[in-house]
Amino acid sequence: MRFERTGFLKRYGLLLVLIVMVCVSVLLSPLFLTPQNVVNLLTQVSFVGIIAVGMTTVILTGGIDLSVGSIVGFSSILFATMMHGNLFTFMPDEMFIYAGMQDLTPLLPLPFNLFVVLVAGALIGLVSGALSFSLKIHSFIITLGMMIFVRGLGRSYTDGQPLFGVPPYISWLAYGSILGVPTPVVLWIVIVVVAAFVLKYTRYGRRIYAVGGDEEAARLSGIQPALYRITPFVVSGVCAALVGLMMSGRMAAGDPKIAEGWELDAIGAVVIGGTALQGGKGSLVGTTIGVLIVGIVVNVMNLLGIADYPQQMVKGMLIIAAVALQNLIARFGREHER
Amino acid sequence: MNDNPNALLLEVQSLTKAYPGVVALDNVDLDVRYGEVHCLAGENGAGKSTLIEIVGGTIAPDSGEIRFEGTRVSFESPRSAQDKGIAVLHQELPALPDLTVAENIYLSRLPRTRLGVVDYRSLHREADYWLEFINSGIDSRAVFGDLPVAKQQLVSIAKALSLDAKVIIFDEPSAVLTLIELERLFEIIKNLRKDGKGIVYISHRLDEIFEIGDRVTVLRNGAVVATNPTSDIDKNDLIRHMVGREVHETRLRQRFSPAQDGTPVLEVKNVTRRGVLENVSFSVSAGEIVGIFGLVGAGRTEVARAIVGADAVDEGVVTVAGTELRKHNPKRTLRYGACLIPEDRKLQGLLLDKSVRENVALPSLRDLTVGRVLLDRRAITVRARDFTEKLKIATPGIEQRSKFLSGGNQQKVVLAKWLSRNMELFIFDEPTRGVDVGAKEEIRRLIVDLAESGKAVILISSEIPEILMLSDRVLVMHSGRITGNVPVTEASQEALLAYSMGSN
Amino acid sequence: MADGSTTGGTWLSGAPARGSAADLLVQNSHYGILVVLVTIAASLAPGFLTVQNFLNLLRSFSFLGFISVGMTFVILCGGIVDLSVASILAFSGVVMALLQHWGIYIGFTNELSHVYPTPFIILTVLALGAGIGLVNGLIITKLKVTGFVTTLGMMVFVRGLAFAVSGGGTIFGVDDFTRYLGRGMVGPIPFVALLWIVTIVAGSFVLNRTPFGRRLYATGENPETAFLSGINPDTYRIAAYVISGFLAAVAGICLTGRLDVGEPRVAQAWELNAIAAVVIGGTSFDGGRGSLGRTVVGVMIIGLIRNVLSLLGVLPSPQEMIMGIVLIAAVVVQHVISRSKV
Repeated sequence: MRFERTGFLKRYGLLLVLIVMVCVSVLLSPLFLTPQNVVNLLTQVSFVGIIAVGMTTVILTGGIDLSVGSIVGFSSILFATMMHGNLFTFMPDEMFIYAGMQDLTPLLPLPFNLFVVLVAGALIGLVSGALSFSLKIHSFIITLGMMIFVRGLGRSYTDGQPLFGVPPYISWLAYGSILGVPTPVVLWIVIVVVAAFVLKYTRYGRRIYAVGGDEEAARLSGIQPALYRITPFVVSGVCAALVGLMMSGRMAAGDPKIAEGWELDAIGAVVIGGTALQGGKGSLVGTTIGVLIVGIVVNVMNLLGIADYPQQMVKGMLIIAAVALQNLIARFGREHER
Repeated sequence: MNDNPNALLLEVQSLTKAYPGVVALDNVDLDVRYGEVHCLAGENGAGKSTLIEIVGGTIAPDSGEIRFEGTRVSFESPRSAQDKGIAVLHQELPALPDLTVAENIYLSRLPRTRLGVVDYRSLHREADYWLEFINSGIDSRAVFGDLPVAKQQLVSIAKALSLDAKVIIFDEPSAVLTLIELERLFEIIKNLRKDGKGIVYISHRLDEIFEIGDRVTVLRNGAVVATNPTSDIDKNDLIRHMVGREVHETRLRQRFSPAQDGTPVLEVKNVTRRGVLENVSFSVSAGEIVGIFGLVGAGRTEVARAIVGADAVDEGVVTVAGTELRKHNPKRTLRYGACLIPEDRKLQGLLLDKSVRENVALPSLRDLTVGRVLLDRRAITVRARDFTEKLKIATPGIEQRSKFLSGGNQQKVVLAKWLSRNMELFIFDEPTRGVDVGAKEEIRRLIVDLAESGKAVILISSEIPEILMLSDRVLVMHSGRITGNVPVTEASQEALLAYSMGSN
Repeated sequence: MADGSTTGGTWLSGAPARGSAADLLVQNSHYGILVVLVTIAASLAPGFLTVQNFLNLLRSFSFLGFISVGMTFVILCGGIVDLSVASILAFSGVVMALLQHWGIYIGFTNELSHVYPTPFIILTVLALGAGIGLVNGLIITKLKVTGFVTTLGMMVFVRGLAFAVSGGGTIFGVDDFTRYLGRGMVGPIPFVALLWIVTIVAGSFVLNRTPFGRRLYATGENPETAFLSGINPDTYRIAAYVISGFLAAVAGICLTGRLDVGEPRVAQAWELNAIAAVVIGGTSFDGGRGSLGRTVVGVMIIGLIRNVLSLLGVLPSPQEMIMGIVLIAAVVVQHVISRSKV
């Protein structure tokens, strides 16, 4: 092939960056490669990592979902309130005193509570997707409205206060482990693998790429775009709701204020991973590497004792630099083709 | 397959399609036999595209019928035509550049395993089979967008074959292929013919028609002029059929005599844009109208864009009014007095959502100010009013948003943008396309008036009569090169057409 | 200043040529919402319709108002959004305070120690804001990174920078002049409200009455037409981001004066409020259609809804819910009306 070198860069450039970063990190801090640190790192990134899976499917179809951070907070408090059913039935006047509420009075049998939360996340996604598809309004605006609305909804339950006390199996979502691997990491890996499989090996997945790449061309090939434009928002909503449950476990409480700005973290990871905001181009592998890259940068700077703020600055530059670099490689490749 | 060599695979009978103001197809008959290559020839706008769009199921005819293997068929969509076995290979393929070649071939019917998962093994096996069948040398795993255009064309042939198409329609494939690739395509077509497929081949290149075609049908103004076996006619007959014996329209233009001492307003020297323009050189003097004729894709618009600097060129110099311009852009070119009135008025000429007044003023905002900063509203109003009157733009007022105007009036607004500025060189790209007859006449008059007042004019047009009517000298383009440069007195329709098809 | 035509420009004086009822409705739906809100507020609170209350409201609108004006420029020229404005606002405020507390680095935390006189400090901060906007614009036009990604990165970066220069803490106390910018009164009118009004008037003037403004509209509506008409779209895109950064700095300076502190945590997510204000006003996300007047109405609608809800005794959280619904409803209504029209 004539353009082997740029082709190689295009395909493996990200992985290369990741490997280089791991090497540099090892050199910078001897603590980096300790099992303890690796486990910590993976656990930390798995939360945003799961959100980024949903975000990737949305961005592949050319949309964007700003509501995910709010859905995390909302799911967390929705679950907690469902676990404290009698709080809302018998003690309306004392609604705002929640700390130390250990007696759980679930509204529904346990698995159903989980189910309801996930369905709520799916519904929010469905509304966003259906509105923006059927009205042809950019999903940026619809999900911006949804983000504000859902955050307000979550806060309305307890006036923004955290609600303590969750059942043990929820704590297990955050602190447990399967075969020695922390549950969040297992969940993240399973979701990435399943979603990557669906995107790569099912008609549904291939059509998401097709519709995101060129809706008109896809239509001419006999594909109805509605399904592929709307369902990614549902996926994104469910991912966010799951993370909300995990966060409840992590804090042993429902808290509507958590995960503010996570939507932007997730979008950042997706674009660093090489998925184009215009849609149709990108992959979950890229997103996963993007999540890891950001995670490693933060982790190493923590190990080196660098304060929070320079970390943010590096993150910001990373986003712009990654995309600029990808554009340059793509342009270089095109010029060579001519 | 049918053994009878004269059996009809596809029959089109008295097909008619009219658009407001134009009859695109008028009682067209066409038939394709098993194992035959049937060529379609005709000038731009003769109705070839409309014909294949109807046969391919993209648009519906007003009347007439299509018979496929003896039974009457009607198509609601390209999909239903495909299902029957008719595939159209457009120059610009609707394709998904980020998916693989195999996925592009099989997108709507990806094979699945029993588990419901995409069966990549059989997908690639099938795709590779067809890609190999036409000897394309393409890997079905390659990403479609990474392929050169010529190979993309081959992929669509493979797609047509995989659909088990019996009739394959090629829409000017040679426009995007190199000579070697074309050879290979011909080989493929010959093999398909051997297999009993019916091929419809549209081309602007006469040599090709004689090399590959069994029969050729010539269309003119939406009607079939003649259908002949290629062995029975020669190139000259073909050109005569295409041009017809139309009465020459009267020339609007007095004879032009160039000023003795005048340096040309525009000089284009060795302009090259790789893959698009090759070594283009010519000049235009003040008061002269130079027509540029060429078939679609010959590089006419690209020359115009290169002159004003809308596209970067790889080599060459453009000199406007004595100033050499390199790496220029429309903004700079404008300052030296050259402007392009673009082909697509809706996408390139107008701000559709803005008023006539605003559109007219757009290129000259700088001159319409008080002290460079504040817009002079009165001056703008006066100018917009002047030009709506002068060009007889039919609008309720200068505040009318331009999207509510008719095609002809929109075109006049675009003209007003530039006429209202003092320019030295006007490049008109298809100024009368899609414009009603009355406005056409007015626009043509206007172009002549411009030249007579000493401006230099370049007129790009697909209509030979228009070129002959207006210009003093005609440049003919073919595949990005200038193949003919003739004074209008020596130009005939036949000669121009011959130049434009690369045969001289 | 506040024009109601969707063609985006009052310099085209005279009635729109197609004045159908639907047209009027589309063009003025945002005014309708405003009138309804004012009526509700007035009936709920007797004190609402007083000049004093109005002026107070105006002041509370103006901080968000500045960045909404900048956002309008960016959206009008087709740049989608500028997500970095709130960070620039916070950063400018911190730098403003910091340059008056140079001694902070040698241990005098609470005493004022100017690096140089306040007017020069202000100039420095404004230049920084505009400079960040310039960097945004250059990355977008030269490196071809989309506006969304660029300003997202810049938003994270500049917020980090704001924390970094302030050492993560709050810088207490600014001089009288700075405080005047945020709290002072010109006669009965709060200074910052006055400054905001001046900005709107000047901005509308630039957009409607100067070649620059009309070219910016042209770039937003159709870059190709603009390009062939002798306009360099990149120039106007960059300019829009510079203006946006500059106005964010203005807001940052005034907010520091108002709060009397340099605080890197202020204005979190205001960029989204600014976008909401522009969209509720009815400026098109596709660029080229809309006006500053519409944005002003959008800012007022957002501010008034909060005000009215508070008057109604609605808690902050449900208020947020209602804001979200209003935003979605506004775009849906605009969409439905505009579809029924053509």
